[in-house]
Amino acid sequence: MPDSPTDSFSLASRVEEIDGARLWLTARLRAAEYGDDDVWALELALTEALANVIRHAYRGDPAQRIDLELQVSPSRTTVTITDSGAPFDPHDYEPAPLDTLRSGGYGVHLMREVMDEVAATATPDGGTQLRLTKYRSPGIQPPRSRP
Amino acid sequence: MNVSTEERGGAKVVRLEGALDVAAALELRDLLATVLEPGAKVLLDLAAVSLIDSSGVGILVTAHRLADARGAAIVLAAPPGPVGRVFELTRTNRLLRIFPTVEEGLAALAA
Repeated sequence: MPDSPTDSFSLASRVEEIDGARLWLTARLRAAEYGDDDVWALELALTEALANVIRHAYRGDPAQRIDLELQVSPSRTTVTITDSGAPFDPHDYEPAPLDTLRSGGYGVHLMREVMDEVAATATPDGGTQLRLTKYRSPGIQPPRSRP
Repeated sequence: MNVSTEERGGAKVVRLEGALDVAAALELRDLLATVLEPGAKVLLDLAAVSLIDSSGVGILVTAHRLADARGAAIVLAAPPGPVGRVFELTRTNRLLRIFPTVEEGLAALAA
């Protein structure tokens, strides 16, 4: 399977828009015959990344825009999320201990756990470009249950 | 997120369907605050949940605390593999009451 060209998608900074971004991502991963585990990991990481942008970078301002780029190759997928809000680097984030029952702070931890690479760079306008990379899992995976 | 509720064996069984994500978090929080009346026994059937994110996990943790504060009980049942994996990755599987099947969850509530 050859590398696909970069695909792009834009959304408003509203949590209601996240589902559409997930559908866009999933359709392209399915077309490239990625397995269920990889699709789930990328859906989850994208959801967490977009929630962070909406809540923290844009502080809930629904009038802002988020740009996505997707590169799918036979060996790996990279999703790039670009915003122009307040800077955020997940590597600066130190998660609280997970052995206590708490209501928040799991997002960056999950993103790191399910991705192979998470890289953030500052953009010229002061925003952030976050790159999420997942290497394709080997072998055939069983279908997961979906409603 | 779609929700349906029924009474079974003295417990409220709340079946959740779709994504328990940041977009559904407020609706889920309000739903659980309503069903977790003092003394209530609540089972959340997760079999039809397609994805849970950190916001969904956070709401379930809040519900667990709310149940304790109100003298109610809440259990989770039948999480699909990807949902169970998120509980494992956040280690909330050690803290929340999660059962493989609805029947096992109902039995725990009845005990």
